[in-house]
Amino acid sequence: MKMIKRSIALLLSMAMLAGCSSDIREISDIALVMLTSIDYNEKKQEYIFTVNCLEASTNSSDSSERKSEWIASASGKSIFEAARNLRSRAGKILVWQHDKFFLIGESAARRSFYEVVDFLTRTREIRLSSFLIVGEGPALELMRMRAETGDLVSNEILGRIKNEQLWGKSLSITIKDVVNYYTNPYRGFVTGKLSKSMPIGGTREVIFLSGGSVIKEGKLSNWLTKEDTLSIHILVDKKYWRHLEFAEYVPYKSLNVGLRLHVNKRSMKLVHINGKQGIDIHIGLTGTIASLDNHLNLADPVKLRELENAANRYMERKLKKSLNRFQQVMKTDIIGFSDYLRHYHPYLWRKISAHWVTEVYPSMPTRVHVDVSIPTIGMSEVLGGSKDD
Amino acid sequence: MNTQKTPIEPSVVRNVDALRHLFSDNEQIAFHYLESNAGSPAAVIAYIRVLIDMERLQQHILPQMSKHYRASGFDAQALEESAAAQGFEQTLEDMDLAVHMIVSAGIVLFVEGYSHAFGMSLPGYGKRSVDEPMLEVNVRGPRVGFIEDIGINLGLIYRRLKTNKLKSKKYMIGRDSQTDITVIYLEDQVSPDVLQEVDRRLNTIRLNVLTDSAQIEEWIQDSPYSPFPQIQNTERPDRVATALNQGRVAILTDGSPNVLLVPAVITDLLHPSEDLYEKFYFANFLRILRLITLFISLFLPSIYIALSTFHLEMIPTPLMLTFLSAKAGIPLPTFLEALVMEIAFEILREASIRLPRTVGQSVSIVGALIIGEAAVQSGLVSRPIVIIVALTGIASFTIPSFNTAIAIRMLRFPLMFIAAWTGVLGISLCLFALILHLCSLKSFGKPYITTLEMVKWRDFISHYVLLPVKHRRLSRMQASPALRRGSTHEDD
Repeated sequence: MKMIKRSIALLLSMAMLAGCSSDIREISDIALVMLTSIDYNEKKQEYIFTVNCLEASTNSSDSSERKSEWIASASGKSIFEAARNLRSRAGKILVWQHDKFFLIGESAARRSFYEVVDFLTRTREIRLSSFLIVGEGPALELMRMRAETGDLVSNEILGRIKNEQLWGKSLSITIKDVVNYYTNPYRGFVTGKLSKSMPIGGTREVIFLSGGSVIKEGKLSNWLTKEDTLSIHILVDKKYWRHLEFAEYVPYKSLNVGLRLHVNKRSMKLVHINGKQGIDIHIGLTGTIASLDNHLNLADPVKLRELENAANRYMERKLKKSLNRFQQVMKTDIIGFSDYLRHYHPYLWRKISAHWVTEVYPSMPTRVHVDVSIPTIGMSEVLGGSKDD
Repeated sequence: MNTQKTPIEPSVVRNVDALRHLFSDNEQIAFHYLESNAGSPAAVIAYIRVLIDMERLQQHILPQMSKHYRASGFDAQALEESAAAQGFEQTLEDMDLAVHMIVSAGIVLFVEGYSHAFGMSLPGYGKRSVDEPMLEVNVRGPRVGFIEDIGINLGLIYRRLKTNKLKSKKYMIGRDSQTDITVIYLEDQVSPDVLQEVDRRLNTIRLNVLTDSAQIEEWIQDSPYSPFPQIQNTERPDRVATALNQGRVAILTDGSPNVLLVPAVITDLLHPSEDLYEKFYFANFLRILRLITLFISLFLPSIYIALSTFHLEMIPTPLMLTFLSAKAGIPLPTFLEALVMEIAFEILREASIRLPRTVGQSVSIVGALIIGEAAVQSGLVSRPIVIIVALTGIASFTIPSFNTAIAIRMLRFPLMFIAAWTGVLGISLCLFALILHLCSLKSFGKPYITTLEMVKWRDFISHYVLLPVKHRRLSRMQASPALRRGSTHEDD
């Protein structure tokens, strides 16, 4: 009986405690932040913090669509202050845990990308697995663009990031990847680029995720073209290779062959090129024929080999061009040569590290070998055209 | 009990006086005299009118005895022979036994000059016919269930186990009700320790009136304050036969269709007897399903409360968006919403059990449709909580043992309080405490979580997984003797 009395007393006390916790956040009291952008106003020297929130609206009569999108901005001397000033406008508790995108405006990225990343990593509520993308122009404007599909903007961007692997011409990385790159001061890295433009046959501007933004020494230094972004995918992103698939249109004799390519392997080694120490990169690709513009007897092994060689040369040229741009124009080690040298040639690295950024890297000779293999040629043999090629 | 016996007098009249005194103010007592040639009472038959089969007494027993007595020339010896022929097979040495015979639907014959009486059982009270059990319903398997008569119930078990090794021991419990209790077991399977413990515990029962086996259950179980039943009860003779073959002991109570089976471990309460009648892979699928539903019925509302008030980050974003629209404009906090709906569900369930069957159905329809739908439409509660409560309720119906299901239902409420107070941390602490409690429980000396005393993988697997019938027999033979005698194996 004593025990029953005690358990009843315990239960009753728990009933009183239930709801007392200060950590309680009811779903009806929150606004889910789906997209956040950070801009910098040069004139006022203030950060502008903008959020795109979803909140449960109580006055809508249709019970199935009770979500409303709310975009609000606030400014402050620091990012934290700006974020706090936003609270004066928010009618609900802002919850960041479901925010998957952080958009940094061009001005903020050029001025203090580092500070933004530092703020994001120090804030407990923000997930390090969310994507960090740089916007071309003010991020605020990009935030206010409507989604092309009529879905939530955040869902649309997420879908685009998932599709990245099927074309390879955009590159989005997460906050934690950015933080990992920051540990090496000798290198730069590439993250996504969000821009707006008029789509083909469209009537209004929409946002595009294509190309990349080069971050060097904690600031945005350059934009990367789509082609160069693809080169980065091939040369760097080992963990995306399994899914990466890209299209190339390779000239072979008088024909043009459309290829669907996968990356198999990449190796890097230190070699002597023209008497100087340089990097030799070996890339293995697997191709599938996607299209031919004329008849070609692919069953002939000689012809297939020739086609493979043509593809090798084509890809080597392309990658070399990108590498030259990274080294000589951007002067930013976005491939991670410094990481390679530091890990595998520590003695050499000790000697060259002091002049790496200014002298060694821009003038380091590089060589690219690409080995494309086309294991399957497909079933269709003749599709128009003449038999002679 | 009073050890001093009241003797039976050689005088019929004095015996009648004594009985009249014992049954004073009881109009149901009746005496039927057989007179000698001198007109004095030579014998008397005493009984309680409402208990016995009056038709048989008046149309067969009395005319036959009377005829035989007259034909023999009013000979007392002949009367005794005639009584034996009519079925007076018990000799009652003292008045207490005679009284007991009378109150247990018997008739007692006192003969002039004899200092003992003759008794026969002649029950004539109303009884239900053997029927399908109400609670333990099977799709396949025997349809027969126990009734309130211990004799018939014993018969149902004895005809399933045709062996001389099936032993029974009788007890009488209840100072006034004098209820028959019979303990049965298979001699070669039962553990002597368990049997001794059953005997000891049954002898400690002090009750005035024993009306149902539930009273015994509460009295003899190891931890009466635990919400989990440590004694299994069943209405199915096939289940009792299976349990006896597993070396368990069955306790039958007169007047109760529920037979108690001891020792009972947690798996006994989670697996219905139907498991044995289905193909083993279906049975195993259902066992897994029942484990899932057990978890759902215990934890789902509290997990929902914890996630939606403390751990919003643990809800996947698309689901969160759905919740966000569903919860718009709901005035109650999630915890109260869940509590109100759970209580409403319990009210409906209780109402549908108590109401007559025909009305009961309409109550559940009214409850589910009107209350659920109207509550959502009027914006009092959100849609997810209706789904959660309904799922929890339905999941709790899959637990085959009713008293285990009640325990789970009751435990859900404290869990909800704790979830609303401390979130997932509290739920995990509760789960931990629950596991500790279950591990500390014992049923007649056997650990409630039987796995604790298992050392072989084979035993462990055959305990949780129903093996194909050939391997099942094999596994039982190879199990350790302690386990073989215990209640650890499903067997055919």
